[in-house]
Amino acid sequence: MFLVHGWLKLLGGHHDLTVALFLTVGIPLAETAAWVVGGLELLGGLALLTAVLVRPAAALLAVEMAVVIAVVRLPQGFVGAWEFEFVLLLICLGLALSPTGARRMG
Amino acid sequence: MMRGLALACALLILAPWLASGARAADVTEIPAGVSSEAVKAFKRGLELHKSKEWAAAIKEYERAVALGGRFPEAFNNLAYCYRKIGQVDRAIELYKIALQLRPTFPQAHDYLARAYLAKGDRAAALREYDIVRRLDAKLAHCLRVAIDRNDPDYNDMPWASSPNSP
Repeated sequence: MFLVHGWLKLLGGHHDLTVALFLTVGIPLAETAAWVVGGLELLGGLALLTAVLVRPAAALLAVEMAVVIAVVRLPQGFVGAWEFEFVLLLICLGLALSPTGARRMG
Repeated sequence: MMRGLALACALLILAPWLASGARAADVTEIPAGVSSEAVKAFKRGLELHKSKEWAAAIKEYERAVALGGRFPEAFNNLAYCYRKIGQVDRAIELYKIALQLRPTFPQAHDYLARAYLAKGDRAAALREYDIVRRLDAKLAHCLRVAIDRNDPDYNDMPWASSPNSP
């Protein structure tokens, strides 16, 4: 999931869409932020997939998802915001992996 | 190793579905899950909207929203009608709701820019234009002409003559 979204943001033609989203919700330095988030999702997704640097990757991705909830999902309301629960689940996974790393989970 | 491979395959299979989120929406679309009563009211609103009966269209769109049709197109179209009857501040509020529900809704950004233009706020209109040009080049071109002409109404309802519109 992170890998695909990161790839789309960096190389898959979704960069402008991401910048537009960031401009709409008021993320500062939207252009730069879109590259940073794309890189984080691509490398973070790869880290989770290959079990390399799982803790920092999971922690950073959890922070990113928390920001997504705060600036995009919360204003849409809990009920009816169809991705909200899913993003929440991703945070939980991130937090679960962050302190333990891949070894204990594996 | 096998688990990683399976995950990678799953991601490849899911990629087109995930990418579909970027598709530009039309102002006549109704998302799944909206009650049939709200859909009927929205469609009646659309017909009145197309025939430029703004006050009657507002009533139908508001009915659609009250019946649970809280989807971006409903707020966007309601806002459009309010702009047309001169209630630009109300229109701006409603466009912002549409954009909260779908931040990358190109038409709502386009119309919000036109509402700012109607209020004489060219700088805000250009900020919205900067977003529209990243979402829909054709729409952005049209908006740019409207801003340059200082004419918020310039070619602002091209979808009404589209062969795909209901």
